[in-house]
Amino acid sequence: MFKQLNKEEWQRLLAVTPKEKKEAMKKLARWITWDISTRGYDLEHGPFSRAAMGGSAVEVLSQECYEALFCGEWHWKKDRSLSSMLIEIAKSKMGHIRRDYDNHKCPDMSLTSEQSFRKQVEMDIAGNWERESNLRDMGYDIARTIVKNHPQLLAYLDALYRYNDYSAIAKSMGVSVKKVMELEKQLLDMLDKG
Amino acid sequence: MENLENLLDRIDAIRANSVTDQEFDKTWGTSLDKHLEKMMEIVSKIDAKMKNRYNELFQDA
Repeated sequence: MFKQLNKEEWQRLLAVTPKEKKEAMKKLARWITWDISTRGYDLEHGPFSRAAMGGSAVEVLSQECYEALFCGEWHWKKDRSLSSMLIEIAKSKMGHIRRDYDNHKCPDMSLTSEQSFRKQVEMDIAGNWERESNLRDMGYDIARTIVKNHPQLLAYLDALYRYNDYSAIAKSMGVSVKKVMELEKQLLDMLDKG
Repeated sequence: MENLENLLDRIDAIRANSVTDQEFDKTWGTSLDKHLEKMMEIVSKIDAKMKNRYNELFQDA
């Protein structure tokens, strides 16, 4: 049996303003685009192609992620923005689509219509939550302490909060975008252990 | 620095911000504005459906 949203969660979702929704959907659309293109998938072939998704992946995924907000307990905590929650759902869903495709060449089970799949995503998010909540509580200051012996990571961490995209961060540090992405991974790995 | 966005949200924000409007357009063959216009219509429909569902679930409460 699915855990249902409680009344407060329903009310919170229904009270989100149109402006906030639009901003969140915008961020989600860009994030989905980033995720597909950086992982080297193209839109002619593979799990995120029009044929596999039954339409434009960014539209199908955006809609399903939004609908999924209403399905069960998504750990949408009070201090968390709508866009952050939508991206969390997208991460889980897209991860499953990729793995299904790699394993069976059989992409796309719908998040909202396929119950077992939905359950999987829900479990993912619940499982990630504890690890994530540690990382989430770990703000800038704590992250700085953990990477204090790594000058390049410290510089990256500062740039991360000062500039708004990869190329601006890269430019400010005098390194390539690829290098910035490597530093990002290195930072996340260290925090995971820390 | 105060009230900083947490680290993971910040990293996701950088990822999203790194997709320019031109890249979005080129990738999907439609502008971000057009996409949003369409999505907000869909969102309104979902909201209306969910509002009904909420009323069904909690009308007695």
